[in-house]
Amino acid sequence: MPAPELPRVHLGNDSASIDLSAYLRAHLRSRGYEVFDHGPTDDGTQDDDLGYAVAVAEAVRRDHVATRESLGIVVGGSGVGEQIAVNKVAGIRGALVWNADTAVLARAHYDANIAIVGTWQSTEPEILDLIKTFVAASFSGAELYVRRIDQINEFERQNYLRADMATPFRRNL
Amino acid sequence: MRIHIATDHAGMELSSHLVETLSGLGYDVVDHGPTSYDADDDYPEFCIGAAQAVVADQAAGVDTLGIVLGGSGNGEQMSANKVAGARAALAWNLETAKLAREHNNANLVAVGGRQHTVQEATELILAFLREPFSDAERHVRRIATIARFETTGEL
Repeated sequence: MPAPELPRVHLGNDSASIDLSAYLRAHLRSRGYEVFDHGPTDDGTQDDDLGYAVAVAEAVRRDHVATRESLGIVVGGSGVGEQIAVNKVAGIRGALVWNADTAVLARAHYDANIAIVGTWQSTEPEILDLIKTFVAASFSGAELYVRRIDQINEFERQNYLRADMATPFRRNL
Repeated sequence: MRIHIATDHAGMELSSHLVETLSGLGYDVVDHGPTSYDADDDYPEFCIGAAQAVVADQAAGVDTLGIVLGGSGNGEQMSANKVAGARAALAWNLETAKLAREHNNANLVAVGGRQHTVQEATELILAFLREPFSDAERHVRRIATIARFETTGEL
């Protein structure tokens, strides 16, 4: 039986994490992952507009639309700004992962397609372990988790980018 | 300050504790549910409801923040962040709780009820609620970028 195809990995980082990102890229490539690098490509101006985070989110979304399995990894400082920004992209479920439990649950329960890690709060070896755990984990596919993700997708379809957010969201709209 | 709080079954114990504690400290707490334990309830509607209430209150000039609770906190922040104007941060230690306010002007905090003791979680939520936004130009710009992106799709 052929080995299952590995997901593509889209990688982005703030300008303080270029070396760590290169290390993660090399590690993932050595394990057979196809890795796309989304920056930064300059001296840090991208940090200000979170361009690297949004670029990863949009790349994962494009793959998703094309039914190509892919995951994103975004390296930030605290990771909070990146975690907020990527979730503004429809179809993206970005999880801030900070221990083995959250790295596994991100995939198993939420089918997260992006992991965000922060270099201010985790060491480089810890971050490598978190990323290994995240990419190796898989979605459980259990009905209750699928149902909850469908509710998020439904909210996005009905309300995303709408100026008027006053309509209360209820399941089975 | 008004606090909109929502949870799912995994964070109910913590939520009850927080409603009591925060009310005792003088916060005006609005509970978005659930009202009873149901192991099969779904986090998105509770969290989206709380996030919508925070955004609406802030737009009306009400001093308000939100709290969304679950097992790990990530499904809750994802759901809340799908609401335009919501900035929901997963906080997992005192530093991330404070930075979320100081740098990101987060208006909701997400905490995993199964990742912390009730006391730990309460401490980091209080740290979040008490930390002001720095108003530093760089952070104001990043937040404006997120707001522009979610309304126009352009950075």
